[in-house]
Amino acid sequence: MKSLILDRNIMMVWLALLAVSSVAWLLSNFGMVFESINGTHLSQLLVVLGYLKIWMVVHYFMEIKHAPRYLQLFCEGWVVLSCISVLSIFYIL
Amino acid sequence: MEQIYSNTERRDDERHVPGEPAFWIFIVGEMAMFGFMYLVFLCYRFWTPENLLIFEAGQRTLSQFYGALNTVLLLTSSWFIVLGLKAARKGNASEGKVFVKLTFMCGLGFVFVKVFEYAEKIQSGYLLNTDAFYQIYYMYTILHLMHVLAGLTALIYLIKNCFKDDCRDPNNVAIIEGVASFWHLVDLLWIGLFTLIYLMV
Repeated sequence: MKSLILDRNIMMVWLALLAVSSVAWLLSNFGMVFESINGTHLSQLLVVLGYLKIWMVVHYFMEIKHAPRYLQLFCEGWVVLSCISVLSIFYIL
Repeated sequence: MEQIYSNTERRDDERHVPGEPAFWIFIVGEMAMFGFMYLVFLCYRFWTPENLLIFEAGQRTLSQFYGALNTVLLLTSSWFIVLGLKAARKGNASEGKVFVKLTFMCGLGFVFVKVFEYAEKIQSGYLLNTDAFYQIYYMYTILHLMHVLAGLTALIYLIKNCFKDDCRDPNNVAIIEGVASFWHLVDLLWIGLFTLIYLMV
């Protein structure tokens, strides 16, 4: 059991997900102290960090990195397309 | 027996669909639906200056602590189910079962936190008909909560049926892979909701 928990690759992904979540939380609460960053840019950065986490879950946890190319293309393509379309709303509206 | 099940531990360069391929139509459909819902949320938020004010004010009334706690619970549960799947592929039924039980407990923790959060909001007078923000907050998070409950039901099935002596059976591994994929879907959909509803400034 210990050997499974200490499986370095998968543990690193989990730790990276927690780290990105912590950075996002800090940015959401304290990001406005940087005068060069306005609310819109900060929100866009948070969206990108959110989709980075989604990509990590899809790629590593869902094992899409070992899936056939068509499924990999669809799932990871969805992550990229969804991120771009969400970001584009900031400019359209 | 060893010979038959030896292919359930996969090499890194080996490509395969996790779980039943047909189940992925459902998973991909869910991803598309929530992707559309994220867009609707943002369109609604930015549609008029009044809406933006309502959404910003609504977001300030939410507790980021509950949202963050639920994020940690779901990310950790995703990690546990990956370990449970790995244990099953190695034929280690007892360890696999422990990891799936830990996944279940994290999921249950998510439900408790969410119910507690809803109770707090309702007591404070924030209801479905309070404003545009709370309308969409309740609709989206309740829909997600239903996915969590469906995932928990599937995890109970796994705990009861899929971690026995022959857990390396490819058909059995495929069932665990399917449920694990669904649980990861629940996790990634929450990451999107947490970012848009709780974190955005």
